Amino acid sequence: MNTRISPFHDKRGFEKLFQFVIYLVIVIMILLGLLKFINNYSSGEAVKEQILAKQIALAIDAAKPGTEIVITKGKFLVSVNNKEVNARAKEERQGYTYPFFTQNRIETEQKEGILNIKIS
Amino acid sequence: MKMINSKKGLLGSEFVLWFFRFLIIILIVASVTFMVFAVQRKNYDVRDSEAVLISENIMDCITKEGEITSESLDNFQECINANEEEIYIQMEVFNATIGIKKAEFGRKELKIYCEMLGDVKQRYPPSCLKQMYIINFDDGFKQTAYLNMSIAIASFEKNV
Repeated sequence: MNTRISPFHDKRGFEKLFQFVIYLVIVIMILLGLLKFINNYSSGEAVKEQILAKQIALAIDAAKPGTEIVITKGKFLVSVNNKEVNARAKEERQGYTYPFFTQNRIETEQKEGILNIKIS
Repeated sequence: MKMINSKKGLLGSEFVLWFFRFLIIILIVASVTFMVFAVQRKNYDVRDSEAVLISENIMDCITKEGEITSESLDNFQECINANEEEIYIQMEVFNATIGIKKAEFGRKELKIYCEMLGDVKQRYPPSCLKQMYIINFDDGFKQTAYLNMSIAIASFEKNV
């Protein structure tokens, strides 16, 4: 008599296999979510925004009247008002804002990928 | 052995096994998330550079024709566009004739935190700068004097 038992013929074995597959799917889904989360953070958009805003603010503070600062901002959106610099990686993001303390007059001009800041 | 062979015992052991499997996954996810947040939360501290620039800007602003007058010293805070809650600046002009002439701006307790820096470990330490200049001071009578400038910057939220 042939007594070979496969998981598909053995109800208990099939249940075990099914549970294991479900567990594996859940683990893979969680790990993929985790990888996506780490990837979003490690691409460092938030860090780059912060560094860009702070470095532009420091450059403005260090500049004497009559200076023109040309910044290659790439895909970043940078806006400068009379008190603060804001850098954003994407339109929909709030970005990072950092104040500067100089009392000089600031004029900005945006070209494709380039920001001109005139200090007077 | 008897318990595991029984249906109830088997269910109990399965439950414990699954519980620990999920617990391990939850622990891994929580620890990775915590580490990522801990690294991300660190700010890029530019306060030391800012303090030096503030000092230079104030000196450029209050010096007229190579001299600092009593009036320009008293109004030095007009030279910078700083938040009073985030900064403290103290200017002391002194020599043997005029004694000490002081002017200050901002949150005074920041100076105390700066003085405590070496002795007390602070969770949010301010950035502190002390600079001394030799100046031509015009107080109705032109004379050479020392200018001590102390700057303390808080701005913890954006820099620590």
